[in-house]
Amino acid sequence: MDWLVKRTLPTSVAVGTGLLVLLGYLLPVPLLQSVRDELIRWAVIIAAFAFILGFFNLLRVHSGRARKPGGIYSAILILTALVSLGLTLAALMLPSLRFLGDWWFRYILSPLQATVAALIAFVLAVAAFRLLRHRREVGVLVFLAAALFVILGTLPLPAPAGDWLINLRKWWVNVPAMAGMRGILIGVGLGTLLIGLRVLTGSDRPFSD
Amino acid sequence: MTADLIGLIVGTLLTLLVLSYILGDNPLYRLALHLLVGATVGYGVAITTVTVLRTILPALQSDSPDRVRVLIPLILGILLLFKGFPRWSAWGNFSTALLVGVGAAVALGGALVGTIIPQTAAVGSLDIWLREGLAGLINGLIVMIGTICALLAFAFAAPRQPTLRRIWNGSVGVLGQVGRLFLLTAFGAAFGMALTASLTVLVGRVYAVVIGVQQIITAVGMGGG
Repeated sequence: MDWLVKRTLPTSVAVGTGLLVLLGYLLPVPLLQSVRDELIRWAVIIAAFAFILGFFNLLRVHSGRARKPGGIYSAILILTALVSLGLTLAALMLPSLRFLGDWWFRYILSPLQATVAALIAFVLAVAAFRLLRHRREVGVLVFLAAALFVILGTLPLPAPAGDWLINLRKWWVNVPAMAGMRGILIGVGLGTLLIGLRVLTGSDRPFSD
Repeated sequence: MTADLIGLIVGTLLTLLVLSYILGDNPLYRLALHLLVGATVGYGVAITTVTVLRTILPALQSDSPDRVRVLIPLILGILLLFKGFPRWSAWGNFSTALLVGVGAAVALGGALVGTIIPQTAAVGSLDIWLREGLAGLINGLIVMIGTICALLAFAFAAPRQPTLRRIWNGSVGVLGQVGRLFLLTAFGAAFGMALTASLTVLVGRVYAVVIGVQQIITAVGMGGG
């Protein structure tokens, strides 16, 4: 019984639903296409529950950490998460409290997210500097030269140097960088195809406990 | 003090807390980071919950066949929550299995139809490059050879037989090395674009802090002579 609940039935569900969705994509049969759409709708609803489960797991992990020395950050995280949840829920459910959600998004979420995104510039610049300092190889030089061409080609420099750099950037992005990116994309696509086939044939069972 | 002014002060302070990372990892930055995670997660869960409720509730209250269609994912979703309790977590396997099965099929279909077929077709479409003349043809050939070499850079297996291995290393190995240079070119270009984009955001945030401080000074009446 335990084996049935833990392995056989979940594997049948995964293989069955996966094959139905795949057939819905590959065969132009209206019935299969509507079954595919319905299963995807179900998956979206279940994924929302997974998000909620993740939220409770985060609260549980951080409530454990909050009791330990130095757990003030975890306590702050829990408090912020609950306040954010409460304010956003209130704003979405009660139109009269919508201003609270707007305020939270505009003055808390937006500045925090935008500034963390802005920090990427600093982190990337430091990483490039460290790379050049510690590893002087042909590959590193090619990498940094590519980055430099793209950055210089974006700057509004005066002609003729500016025009030349814009053309160089355009060629670099559209020819050698595109070749590399295409190789990566096809490689990722082949990897995804293989993993998908392993799940659909029941060779991989990431859902079994 | 209005809500907007309080928001402006809080938003400016939070921006400065995050930017303090430029001086090195410090408690103020860690505080801002935990605030960010908490606020983002709470916001995301609220949006998700309300969206799902708005999808499920009207269908559940109706007498149409939609009721059954919504009831099944609802039950599977509730079963998924059992994953939070180790003793009953196996009951969540059905929901995870459906998610994995549907996800794998969608990813497989997407990879095949959206990536592998169009990208491979684009590699071989030298006629499009030919429209730009000889220079275009050379560029097209560089893209084609570069893509093949980049794919060979991912070939990690080699024949066991010594002679075959030597031939393999002399052909696929060398082409793979060339492919690595093409990969590094792509990574470098992506790096440059990311750096440019994030620099733009950084300038925007610094500007927002300057404007915010000016507005706060004006609002609290310290700006006057």
